[in-house]
Amino acid sequence: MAGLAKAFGTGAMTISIDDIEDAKVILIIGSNTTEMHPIVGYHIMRAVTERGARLIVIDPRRTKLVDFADIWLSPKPGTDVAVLNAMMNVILEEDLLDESFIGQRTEGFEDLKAILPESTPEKVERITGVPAYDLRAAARLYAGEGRASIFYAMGITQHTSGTDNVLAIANLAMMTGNVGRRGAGVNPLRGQNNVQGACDMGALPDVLPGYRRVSDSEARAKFEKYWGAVLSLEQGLTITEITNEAIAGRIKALYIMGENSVVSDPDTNHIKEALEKIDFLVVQDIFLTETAKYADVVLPGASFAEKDGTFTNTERRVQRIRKATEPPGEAKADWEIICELALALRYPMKFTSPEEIMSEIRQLVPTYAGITYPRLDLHGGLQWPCPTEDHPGTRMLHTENFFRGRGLFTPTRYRPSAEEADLDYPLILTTGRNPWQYHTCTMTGKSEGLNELAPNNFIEINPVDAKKYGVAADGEIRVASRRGRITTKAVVTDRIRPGVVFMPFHYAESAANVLTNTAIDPIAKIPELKVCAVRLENV
Amino acid sequence: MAYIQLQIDALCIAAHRSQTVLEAALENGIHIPHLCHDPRLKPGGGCGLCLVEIDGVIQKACLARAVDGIHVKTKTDVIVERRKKRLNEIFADHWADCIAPCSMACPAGTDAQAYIGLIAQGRYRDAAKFIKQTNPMPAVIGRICTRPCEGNCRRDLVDEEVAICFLKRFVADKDMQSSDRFRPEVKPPTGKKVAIIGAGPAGLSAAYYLAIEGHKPVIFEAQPKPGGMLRYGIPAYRLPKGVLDREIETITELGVEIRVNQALGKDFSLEDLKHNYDAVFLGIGAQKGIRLGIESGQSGGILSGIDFLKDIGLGKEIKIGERVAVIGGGNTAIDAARSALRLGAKEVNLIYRRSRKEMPAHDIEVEEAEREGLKLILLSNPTEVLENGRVTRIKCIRMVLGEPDESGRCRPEPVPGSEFDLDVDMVIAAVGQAVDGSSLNGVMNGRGRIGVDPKTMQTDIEGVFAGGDAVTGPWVAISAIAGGRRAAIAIDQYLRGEQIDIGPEKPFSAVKVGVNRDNLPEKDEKARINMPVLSISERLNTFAEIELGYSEEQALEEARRCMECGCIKQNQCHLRKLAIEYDIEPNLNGESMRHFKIHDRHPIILRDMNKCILCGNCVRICDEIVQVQALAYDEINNAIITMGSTSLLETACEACGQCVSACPTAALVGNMQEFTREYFWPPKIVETTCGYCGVGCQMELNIDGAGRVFRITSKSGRGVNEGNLCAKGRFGFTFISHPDRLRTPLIKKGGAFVEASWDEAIRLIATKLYEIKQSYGPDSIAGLASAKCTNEENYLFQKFMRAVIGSNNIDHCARL
Repeated sequence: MAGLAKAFGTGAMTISIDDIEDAKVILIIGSNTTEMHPIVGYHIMRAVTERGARLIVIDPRRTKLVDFADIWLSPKPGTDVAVLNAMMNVILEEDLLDESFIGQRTEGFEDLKAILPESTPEKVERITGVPAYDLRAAARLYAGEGRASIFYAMGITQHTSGTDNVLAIANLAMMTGNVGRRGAGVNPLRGQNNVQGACDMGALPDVLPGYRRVSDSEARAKFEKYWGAVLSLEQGLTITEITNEAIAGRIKALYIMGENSVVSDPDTNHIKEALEKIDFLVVQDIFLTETAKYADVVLPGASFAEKDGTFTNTERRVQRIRKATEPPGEAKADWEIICELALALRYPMKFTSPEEIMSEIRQLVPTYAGITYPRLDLHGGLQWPCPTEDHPGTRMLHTENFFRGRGLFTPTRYRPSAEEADLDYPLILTTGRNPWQYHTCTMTGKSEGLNELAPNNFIEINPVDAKKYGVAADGEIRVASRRGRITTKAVVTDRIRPGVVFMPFHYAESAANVLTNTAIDPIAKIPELKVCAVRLENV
Repeated sequence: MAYIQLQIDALCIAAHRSQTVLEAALENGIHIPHLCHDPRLKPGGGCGLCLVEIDGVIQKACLARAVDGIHVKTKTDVIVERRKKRLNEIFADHWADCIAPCSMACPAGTDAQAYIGLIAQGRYRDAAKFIKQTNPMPAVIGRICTRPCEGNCRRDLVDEEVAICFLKRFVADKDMQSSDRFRPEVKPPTGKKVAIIGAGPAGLSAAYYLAIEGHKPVIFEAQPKPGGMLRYGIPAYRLPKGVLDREIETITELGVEIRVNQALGKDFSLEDLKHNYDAVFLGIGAQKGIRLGIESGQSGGILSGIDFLKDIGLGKEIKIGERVAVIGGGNTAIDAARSALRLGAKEVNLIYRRSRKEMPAHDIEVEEAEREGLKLILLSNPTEVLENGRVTRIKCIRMVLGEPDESGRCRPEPVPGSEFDLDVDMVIAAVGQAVDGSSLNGVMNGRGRIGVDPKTMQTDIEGVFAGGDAVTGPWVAISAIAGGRRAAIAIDQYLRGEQIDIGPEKPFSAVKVGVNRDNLPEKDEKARINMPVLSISERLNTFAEIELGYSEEQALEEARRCMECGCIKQNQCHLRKLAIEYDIEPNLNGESMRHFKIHDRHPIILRDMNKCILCGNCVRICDEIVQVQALAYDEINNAIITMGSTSLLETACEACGQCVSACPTAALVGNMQEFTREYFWPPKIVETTCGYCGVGCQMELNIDGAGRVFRITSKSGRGVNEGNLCAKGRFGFTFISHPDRLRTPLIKKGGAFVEASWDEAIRLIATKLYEIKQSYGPDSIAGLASAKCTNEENYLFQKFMRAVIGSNNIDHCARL
């Protein structure tokens, strides 16, 4: 988010899902697309098998897309900046850049150019474990065919270098002119249904709805007038900071709407400590989640089938959800609860429907100004920016100008992850998901068939490591990090590279996030869920 | 432009050059039969049904390109014949039931599987509502039915048939006692009046369905009370009068008027009614007892069975004999015999000319009667009744069974010299009933019944309809109810001035002939729950109801024995729709069909290759779109198999269910939980956006009658996903109605959660947040929003934090 916003002016998928098959080259980095975004995966596979697109996959795991790839780079987790810089090094060396795009559409290229010579493929091979030959081949393929699209997900962002990773991706795309053109783009794939919308709506500590900074007094004035309240100009705390401040005793009350932090956030024990410490905890959810158990008050919310509203998908498309049935018992839609609570605190928040709330959003967020419920019903969805009611929505971003005017190159240097493998904890643990569970299993764990397909946690270990540490296939194994230890089942597979182990984070019973590190990216403040050091112990 | 013009039948349409003829037709709303067309897939042509004639040449419309100026004919005689041939080929290898065998056996077509499923879910009102779609008197029928459904129940192959009728009675009684019992919605009045003769099951049923349509039924009943044979032919120990009265009330409360003591031919004539009403329904039954033909004297010592029962029903004083002989082997004979026992007869003998096996009476009734003291004298026929002022003896002759007659039963023949006498003082003959057509000139047929056209239920006189025993001859009550309902449909169409078309008596259904236990889903043996009954000693000298009814626990336990034989796609199956459209006969040759084992152990996908039409859609979608090749076509055996013929779980299958979405029949369906397969009512469909990943797939929530999401579907080609969905999107919905959902606010008191009211919870939160803000400042409070919540909710939440609390401490965990 922060990375793309800095480079392009806004952090959203630049093309549409429909356009994926127009690409001649597709680069997938840090995304297990076919499992996590199967519908996007279908397009990518079809681009390869039907349209002859070339595919590069950069992932420490052998994902299904590797079977379709021309080139698979399997770097050590946490070394993506090095890989990307090496590719840019080759592009610069071999003069594969798009000079006119750089000249007309961007700024700051000289700064990037200055740091690239140090990232030779040979040097990067030593950091990442990816052969220099493959790095060169990937760079030539990406830059050589025209119309290249990059897709990335949490494998890029959940690092202490997350923002740098995204900036490096943006650098790579801009230096080859692969933004704002048909079949070319930079595309973050959102892991949850409404990440894009939650960000657009300003559920972030540093920006108001529509990404206006809280420090921007002009923006604040507009919102203050509309809301009839004085707004703080202090940037707020991020999740990880909230946790730390709670432990320090400075956060006294926490109101959680629909999050299961105990399972989803890094270092479970740390979170639990924070939740225990907080004086007053309110959790609003559809189930009594692991997090809700710590609450002083639990409020029953409505599921997506029980309320009206909109979600904004990964390609910026605002779409309707519709109430199909009544919430159970006395449960209410989250928006109704918030209104009641605001009224109890003497603030006149009196909405009678989500459509009325959208009318207010349209007044305050220019990119949503043209989005009305009747239009959504008619068109089946509208992609922002959609500034007026006769605007058809925007299929592709940055076609003529970047959101911020010119695209900004920001040189990024490889920094090691906060925690690397060492003698005590010799393996790198990277986390993710499986295709049948979702996030913390709040929903899928309560959906019989799916839960039956993937009821238990496991850890993927390369056969080389299995032999080295005496791990039996399908045997019970204990996994320990500096923060905790859990027991799980070993799956011995060459889907994962030696020196790295993989676990899904869904399961509260043997939660991978007991092990993970709370170290955060200094800018985006996203925790480093994708890299921590662990060791295997026999049970 | 790439647009072209072509003619399809009489219509000229514009099409895109890249389209096939089938695509162009469908886009313009022109129906061409097809089963394997799926916009997500390349045309395959596998089903062979979309044949059309293009400029004189017969081709598959899914493979033919739309070309400028062509002329397409979609339904020539040759094409229709070829489609029929193809459909017959498909049904010759379709070893499956569309509709459950119990439902096919029911004269009213009541789908027991459907209401048993509703009972199993505890949805008693819905079950009553469902039953009343075809039977307005379930409390009555649930007590007296001869249960053809149970005779066809597949559970019998495992242990014993499901107690369908007891369940029907249970739920009918349950609903009747409920404060919110089911009442049908009555349409606005049409101003049309319908005269109904006879307040028996046929007439009451016709009245009920006509009233729902907004017409005004007026019933003319000869007896002092309504009910017909239900009241005057069925003894109270089987059907208490109070139950009958209450159920008749559920009919009259819809605006049905019943005029009692009004006899046809005496108080009014058919002509009067024709003159004063918009239509007439004749539901006069078959109430005339057939005489034995051996009566000799004038003593009146031989009573007909139905007259005997009617006298009891009318409350007349009966002088019962000490030794009673009942002649006949049907239900009326048994009812008469058991009534005689209750009225104090010391000895009751039932004389029947065939053997026990041939007795038409319901087995359980005969068994119960014997327990109560009835003696059976089988293979015997009365030849003479001896009278001396009153009946004294009856002469009989032994019989032996000869060759089968036209009814299929063996013809009884007398054994010469085997005569014997029986001392009796009362003889009741229950050897058959006939229609009393004395006042119905012009509508009676040569068989002594009222003649109707079975397609319209109309007699030879326009506007005069008939149904029930008067048309079929004496038969079971549920058949009369079905006749009344079918006539009501016809009368409604007639009154609306429409062409009368009430469809076939039995809906189209493929039939799974020759099922044995090995072909059934695995079920543990579980005995049928016995009906609690009055003991023998409690029954004598009283007409109290013998069967006491299931308790709720018993009913729920019994309901769960149902095997759910009917196809869950029976009302959405494209193949079945075409079979109906093309008037295909079900193929009954189960022997020549291939028999496949049903794979029902996969957590998500159920495969029944007996229903496969080999269109290949599943193989193609798995290969072309999902690209995992979990399914394959086995050329040698001409069948769809899993890759490597292993369990689906061992293939690369991702359990996305794309194959399910592409299957035109029910060969591949979601493996839904038992008794959640709500196939029988059209679901409420709500289009929405998937709540899992960030792609935002468009999908349809299918809502059942209880307001639960029971299935998720998608429209092929629709949305960013073009109708594709993944495993989570398609199958991850049962959490919505999970029993663990939070239902009330909870407040932690002394370490444990206590249920609280909204008022209490909101007040507590507001107070606490206010105090903390006052003591420590707004930045001591933080909020976490959620990427699961809507834009509107995230917006409000941050507004709450910023404008109400006054802090920017707002974040969510899924920032990218």
